[in-house]
Amino acid sequence: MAAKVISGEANIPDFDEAKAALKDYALKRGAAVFGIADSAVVEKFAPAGHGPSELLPKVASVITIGVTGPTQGTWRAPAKVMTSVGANVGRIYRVAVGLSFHIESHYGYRSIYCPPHVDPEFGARLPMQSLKLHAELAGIGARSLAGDILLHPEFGMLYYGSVYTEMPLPADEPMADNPCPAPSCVKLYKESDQTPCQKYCPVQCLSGELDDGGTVAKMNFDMYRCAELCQQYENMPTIMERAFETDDQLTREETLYGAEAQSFFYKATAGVDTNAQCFECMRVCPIATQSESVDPIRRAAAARAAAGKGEA
Amino acid sequence: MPYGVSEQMIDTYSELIFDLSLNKQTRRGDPIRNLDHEAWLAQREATGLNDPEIAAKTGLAVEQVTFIRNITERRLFRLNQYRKLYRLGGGLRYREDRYQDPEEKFDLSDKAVALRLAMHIMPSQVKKFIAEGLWSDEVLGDLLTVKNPDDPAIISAAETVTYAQLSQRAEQMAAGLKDHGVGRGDVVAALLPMGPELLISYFAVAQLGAVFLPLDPSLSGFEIAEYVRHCCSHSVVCENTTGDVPIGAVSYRDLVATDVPDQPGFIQVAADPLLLTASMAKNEQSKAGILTHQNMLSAMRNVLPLLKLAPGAQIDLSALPVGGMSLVLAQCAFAAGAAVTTEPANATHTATPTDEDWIEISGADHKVLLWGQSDTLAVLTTEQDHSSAAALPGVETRVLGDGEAGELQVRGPSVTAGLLANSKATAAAWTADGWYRTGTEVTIANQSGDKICYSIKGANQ
Repeated sequence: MAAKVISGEANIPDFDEAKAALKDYALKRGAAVFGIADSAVVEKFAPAGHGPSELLPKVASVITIGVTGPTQGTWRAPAKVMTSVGANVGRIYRVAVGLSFHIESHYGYRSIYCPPHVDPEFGARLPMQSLKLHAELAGIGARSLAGDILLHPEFGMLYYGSVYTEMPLPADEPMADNPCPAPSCVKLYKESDQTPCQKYCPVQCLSGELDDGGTVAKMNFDMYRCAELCQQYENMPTIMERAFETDDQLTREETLYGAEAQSFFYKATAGVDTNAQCFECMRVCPIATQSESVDPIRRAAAARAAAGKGEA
Repeated sequence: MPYGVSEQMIDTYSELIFDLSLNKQTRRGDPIRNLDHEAWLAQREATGLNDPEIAAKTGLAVEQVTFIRNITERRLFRLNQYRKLYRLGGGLRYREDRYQDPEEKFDLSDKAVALRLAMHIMPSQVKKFIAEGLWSDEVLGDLLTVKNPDDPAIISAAETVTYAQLSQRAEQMAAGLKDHGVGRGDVVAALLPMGPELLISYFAVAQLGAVFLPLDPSLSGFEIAEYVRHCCSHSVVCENTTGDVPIGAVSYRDLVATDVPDQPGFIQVAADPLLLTASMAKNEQSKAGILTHQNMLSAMRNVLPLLKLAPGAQIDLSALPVGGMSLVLAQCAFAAGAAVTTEPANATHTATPTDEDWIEISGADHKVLLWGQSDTLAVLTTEQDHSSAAALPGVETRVLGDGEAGELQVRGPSVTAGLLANSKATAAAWTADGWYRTGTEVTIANQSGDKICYSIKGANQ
């Protein structure tokens, strides 16, 4: 089936079959979910200058994958430990970059791993592309009250990655229902005007309203507050500026060498730990922590049970 | 002027650009998941625009928008938010009303900073006191953690205050003082006689991390005004605020009537200043010795076993001038589960000033004498008379003079950490090698090994 020329005209594969094979490839390498968004639809919803065609002019499909979030043990760890070991971005890179090479080598269509980073033209708070948009349109996540972090009804909070390809794969649909807010969150909202994620955010960057039917009427996200907490790499210019400005030597030393500055510089220079994550809204999210397949222990047990049945 | 952007342009556009940007996002409904492009476009501005979109809207160049937005983000950026995570997890969730930024916990006024700058303890002494267990992390407030909260703690003619009431009123008064603007490190004077009001005030001030300045009501109006001025007192707690009261007077009754808010608890730090002991220095200027929680509690631990106070005992402190020593003895009572009384009739123990710097505490079947100054607290003791006083644990003594007589110099865990705002008195009070000069003439009465007994003749002898 594989075509060996770029932008395959030689052999036209069965795209349904190819999609199934690509999904199988991704799941075997660690993805929990796999979906495809129609690049034209992504282009329609993406802000000007941030559509897939900016990266790959003849893009036809946006493949999006999600890897699971923290282990059950990690969810129970102190917050500062979670920020260190909670993220799973390494697995995304392995799966998504692998997919992009796999498509080119097996099917002959140009592909590119979509960079998950900020746009160098605009600074620290504008992403180059919206991975969230891809996953939402591909039906593997829906926007939550927690600053639009995507949630999956079975896998909870996922880490997403995307691959753009010229291969015209059949697209998926967005989810029919949004798992957020969960019934228990609606209950708390009715009692206290806040959902758990809103109540326990350390920088109080979340607010919003539910309608009478318990669905989201309005979601407010003060991203700048979240960034102050989560995007520690943004500390650096402020640290330098404060150190320059103060007349007090002890304040200068605390600014440059205090615990937070030291740990930030350690993370930044040693390239270890994450300096861009806080989990507190997700820690209290029942979808993120208690969904059917979110628990690796239960997931594995179910898989073993299923395998046992198969053998029998 | 990067990209032609002036400071005035930043003033003009920063809020607008910030509000339009992704920094503030609002979504209504679920338009993308529902593929409702029109609904999405209708709320596009609220969801946060990128810089080209903002430029198109405002008529600025994209580069100008990016510059102004980034500068605005930088100027609004608050450092150290990450600290909010440190105590979370493992079942603990963030509560805005309970979080206190570590820097705010230690916010000090200029006057409080001046007080700290007057403290200087020799590093070798600190090492020694810590190594020998003479100083610990214990703070004054720990004395209120008692087994029997309904036992009497303070007895006066007017009332009996239990430990539970002492704790509760101290908490209320601390809230009252906080409402009154008292912060960490601020000095709060108390012009009160020995009794419930004074001792509750002492614990309340400690709860705030503030510094207590006890002023004996027998002091002259001039002395009171001078000490209040010298110590830069934020407030002066009085029984009432009518009549001839010092500047800054605040009513004890009003303060204890305050509701305790549901806020983070006040933090007490053992090494922080707790008490000021104001007096006139030899240069005829005011001086105020600074005593920390560690000073006050180490003095208490030294004295406590000498007093033989059992739970339920009552020690009468009414004859003592209000000051460091009387507060140390009150602490001893609380540490023993006993009570401080100002009613001699039922007292099991009575403290009496017998001579300059001497206090005698007599119980049913024993007596003990303590010698110390307001800036040293108790450093010598004897069960006999003034001619055989020996150093308390951890206290080092030496005599500077000819032979076996001369000025007594001391170092020890209860000796003041410094004198406030009197550089001449400070220079005169310490030797270059860190010994505190008591100015008191002593004679070595006898010496056996390391134990030296001094004879200290008071003014009446």
